[in-house]
Amino acid sequence: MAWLQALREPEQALDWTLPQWERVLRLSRRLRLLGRLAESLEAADLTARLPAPVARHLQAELRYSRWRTRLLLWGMERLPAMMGEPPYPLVLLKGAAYVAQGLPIASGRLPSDIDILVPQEHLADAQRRLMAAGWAETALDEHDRRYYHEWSHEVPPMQHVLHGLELDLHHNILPPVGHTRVDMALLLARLQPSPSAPWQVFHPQDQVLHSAAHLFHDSDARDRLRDLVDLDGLLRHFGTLPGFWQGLPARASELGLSEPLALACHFVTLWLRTPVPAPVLMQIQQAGPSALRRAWLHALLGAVLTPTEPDQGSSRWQNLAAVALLVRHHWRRMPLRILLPHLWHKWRASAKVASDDVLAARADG
Amino acid sequence: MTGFVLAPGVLTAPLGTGWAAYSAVSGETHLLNDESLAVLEALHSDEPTTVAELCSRLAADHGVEAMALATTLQDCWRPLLEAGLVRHCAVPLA
Amino acid sequence: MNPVAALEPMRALSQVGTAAIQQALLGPGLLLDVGLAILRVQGDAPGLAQQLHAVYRNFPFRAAPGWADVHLHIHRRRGLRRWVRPQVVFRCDSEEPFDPFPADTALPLMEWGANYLIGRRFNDSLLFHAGVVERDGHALLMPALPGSGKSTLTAALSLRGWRMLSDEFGALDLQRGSFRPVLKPVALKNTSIDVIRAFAPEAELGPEFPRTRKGRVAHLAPSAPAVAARQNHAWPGAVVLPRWRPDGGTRLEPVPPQLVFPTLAFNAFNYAVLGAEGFRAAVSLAQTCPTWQLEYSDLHDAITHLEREWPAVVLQATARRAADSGHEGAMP
Repeated sequence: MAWLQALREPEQALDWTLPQWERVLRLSRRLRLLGRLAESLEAADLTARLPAPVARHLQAELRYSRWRTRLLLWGMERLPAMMGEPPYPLVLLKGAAYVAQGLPIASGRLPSDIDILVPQEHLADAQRRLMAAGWAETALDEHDRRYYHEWSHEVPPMQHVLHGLELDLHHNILPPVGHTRVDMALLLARLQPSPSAPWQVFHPQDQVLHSAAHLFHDSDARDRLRDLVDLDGLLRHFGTLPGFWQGLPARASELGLSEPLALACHFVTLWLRTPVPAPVLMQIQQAGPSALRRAWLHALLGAVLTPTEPDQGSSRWQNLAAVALLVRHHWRRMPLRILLPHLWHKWRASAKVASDDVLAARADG
Repeated sequence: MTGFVLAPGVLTAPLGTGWAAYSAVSGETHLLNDESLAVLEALHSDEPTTVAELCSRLAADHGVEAMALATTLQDCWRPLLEAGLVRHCAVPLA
Repeated sequence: MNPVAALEPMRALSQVGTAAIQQALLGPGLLLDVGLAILRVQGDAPGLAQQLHAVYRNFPFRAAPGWADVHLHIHRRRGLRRWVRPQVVFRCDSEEPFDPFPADTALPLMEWGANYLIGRRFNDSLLFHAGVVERDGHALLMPALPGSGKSTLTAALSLRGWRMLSDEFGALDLQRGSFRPVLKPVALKNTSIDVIRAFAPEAELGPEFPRTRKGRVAHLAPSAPAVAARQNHAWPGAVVLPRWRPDGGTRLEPVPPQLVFPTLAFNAFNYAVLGAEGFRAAVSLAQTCPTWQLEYSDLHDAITHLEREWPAVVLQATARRAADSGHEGAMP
């Protein structure tokens, strides 16, 4: 994973041979980091010095990522008006928040949807306003629909009838059912304005904690390396703010997110050399999982977070680790009586992304 | 007071009997008739124009009755805004 | 690299046995340079070696190692489905974007998968969904519209001396303003197969796949001259929207620019991605290329009509480029 260094030190890439480049292009493309790499090289004015077959892929991805980002910015610009300027906070999450704030990690992203959050008591109203503006829930089968409405912290993704941009409407950063419950009032009390009024974002510490929680609580931890890179970027950027580091462990504890923060810091310091101040790191680890729990969690997560080489499928060990984490994820989200039928259903319908629709669209007219 | 500005990065091109317009803000491409294009050309990208100002500008350029224009224009704002060709803007008080 | 192999002249796939192709597929991979991109194909899908041998017959045989832009694996599905109604799976860079196909349709799966990936990745060109052929250095672009039969017409033109660039992608190089080949076998469907066989009995068609999602499919192998010229560009010449009509003669009806533009732009894979550049390029084509709706019932007659128009098309395009840049007769 030495190539990840090139995201922050792009000059390293000048030494890579063509076979090395071939591997990095494939890996980074799959990890959704190719755009990041391309922007990094472009900003350092190095693209023109690379071999032509390499440069063309980087430039092609730049175009694609900039287009997707433009779509996201446009969606953000239009949404408040489309929703009739609702009288409650509209919060941007994740990639949308990073783009709105113009963070370093906003560069080279591939936003596929807008993640927004409203206070739970206004959720129905927000949905109503969106539908009035032409947004519709994407087609889901009955089982998945029930899952979203009853057990999740999101409503089913919505799509606009005209342009197809997807919107994920949240009322919590984690599902209310299950072991970890986050008090949204605490997060909503510390909202900050963003450069794109009327959109607001979480306090920087809360953005970091949300990112950590999302990474380790989400169901498909495979290929989440990009999210780790995001975390590293958030910590480096916000780490310069006065009081950021000192207050972080206490805030994590307040929100009940000490374990994800500890897990996150373990991996970013190990793999990405994120400069976490030593005393803060110690506090974070002490508040994290016990030594025994830490051992198997690190092993599992490490196996699953490591990207597979492009020419291999997942190794058997990775598959087992992935299954174990999937079970853990759902265990925490749902009572056991609901868990088993849901998992079975999910595996049975294991969706491939493009399949019929794409073939129909792309095959000969 | 609200006015309208031309969104940044708008490109237009003549195509036979009509026009094509591209918005860099929305990334969308639209086909416009002569009237819509006249509206775009009468707006500025740095200074907002009120509807009244726009009507008199168009009336002067095309020799039409300004009052009649106001009603016609009412319908055009929403598609132009949604296409990202035009933006709403507060007009600073003199 | 084998030093002995380096001394041998390049042989076409038709000249090496299917065993050598199979060995490459099971080993480091078979490299296919289609002009716009180099594909690397690997996998143990049954019959794939024979199918590639048939439809890529005039392409030079090159096994990896070597640079590739797109890395395809077509392999047998593991587990129970290896034996019970066996299937093959398409994989690229550890992702499997499609449902598995029946194991006897490895080639259609590979072709469609490759097209999907090309359409997603190569944003250095504006990729129209169209067939493209070339004559006298200029391109005839046939956008893919439902019922247009663009593959049939593309195939027929290529069998009547026009150079084929692609039956799927009109790849307009944004820097050079010219079309470049994305040369792959022409996928003919259902009655098109019979039509082309009747039109040109000598046509090099690959095996027929009777039961794909699109019905019967067979592929026309790109000719040796087309393969040899797959790095050569072609200037924009004209746009034709074909429409097969069972009865009636051949008619060429001019199409105005305000109709050409949406046909081209909204029928391109990556028009939206390319933003202002895509807009300018599509506008330029719509403004400057003559466009006709071609209604025909007989392929031979249709082609004769096109060939009659072509000298004027070439003259007009050449004059326009000379006026724009002051250079006459430059190669694209």
